[in-house]
Amino acid sequence: MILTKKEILNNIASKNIEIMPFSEDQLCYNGFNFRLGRFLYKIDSIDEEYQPKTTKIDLVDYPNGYILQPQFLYLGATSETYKCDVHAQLLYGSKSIGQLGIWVHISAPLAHVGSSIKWTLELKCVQKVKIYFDMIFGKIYFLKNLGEILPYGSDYYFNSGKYVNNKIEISKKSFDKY
Amino acid sequence: MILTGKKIENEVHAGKINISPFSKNFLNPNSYNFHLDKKILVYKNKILDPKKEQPTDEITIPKEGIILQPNKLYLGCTIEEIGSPCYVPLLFGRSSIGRLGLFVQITAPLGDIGTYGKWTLMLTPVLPIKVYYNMRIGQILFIAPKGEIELYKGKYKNSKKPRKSEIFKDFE
Repeated sequence: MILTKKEILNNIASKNIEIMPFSEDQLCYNGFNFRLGRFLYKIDSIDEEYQPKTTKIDLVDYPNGYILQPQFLYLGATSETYKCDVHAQLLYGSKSIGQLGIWVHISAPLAHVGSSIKWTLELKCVQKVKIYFDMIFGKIYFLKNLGEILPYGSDYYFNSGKYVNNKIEISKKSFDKY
Repeated sequence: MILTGKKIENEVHAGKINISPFSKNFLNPNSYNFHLDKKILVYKNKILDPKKEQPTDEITIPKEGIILQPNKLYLGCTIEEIGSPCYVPLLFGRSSIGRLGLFVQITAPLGDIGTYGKWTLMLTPVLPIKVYYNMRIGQILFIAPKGEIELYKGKYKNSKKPRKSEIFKDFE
């Protein structure tokens, strides 16, 4: 089940959901509109060890918009931090962003229950398109869990808990534990 | 919780899900198959700027179909008008379409409760691919909400054709 606007507000009041910074204006009918964070990493290439060559971009330096190029992958982040020990989260770009041909996630739109993160965004575009710091970019949804909740990073789950801090993580060897 | 095909059918008859036109033939075990409409929008500008309204050209898919080219965005829409005041709709391309390398949605597969209209499809092929008017191109699913419902009143409600991005309104 997906939480409605009212239910998200109830959960914020009870601190089951923490969004920092939180603005009620960003709530939508069954989700929360997130803003685009300040820094981007342009991924120029990725080697066999999954080490990327990157260029860091500060969107504040581009008041007239930063142009995304179709041949690159960019990692960005949400402005807000989302913490929820009760519900799972889903992230998607907004319709208006998709209709401009911008992928906000290549894959993995799910944040596991117990996450406390600025979401990393996996940006890719169909054709050249400008983006701006702090623009409304997509939505976070909250899904009710069915079953016993064990925290993100719990030893119970073999491979969980890699992305626990708030930095844009360029590369993690996803297969470290294998 | 996700609705079964049978439940979708029941809720269409009960007026809790709206799909028009509706035919029982397009129900799946957890979804309803929708069809590609005739009109497609393409942006005219080489560089898109969200702060400004972007001009588009409108194409009508001819009888013999149209070939979509990679690295180009085509905004199509569903033939059906779809929405629900009771459930959250979730839209995807069919797996048969995904296996041909055609993105039907780039992002935003989840709709707002209370939305209704033709859904804009963000068609982007990996390889050149022919599409036809009225082909079954995707599926819509419905998820039960938790909590008190407020109905969608946003800018894309009651769409009758593909809609270009109106994000420039967010900057006004």
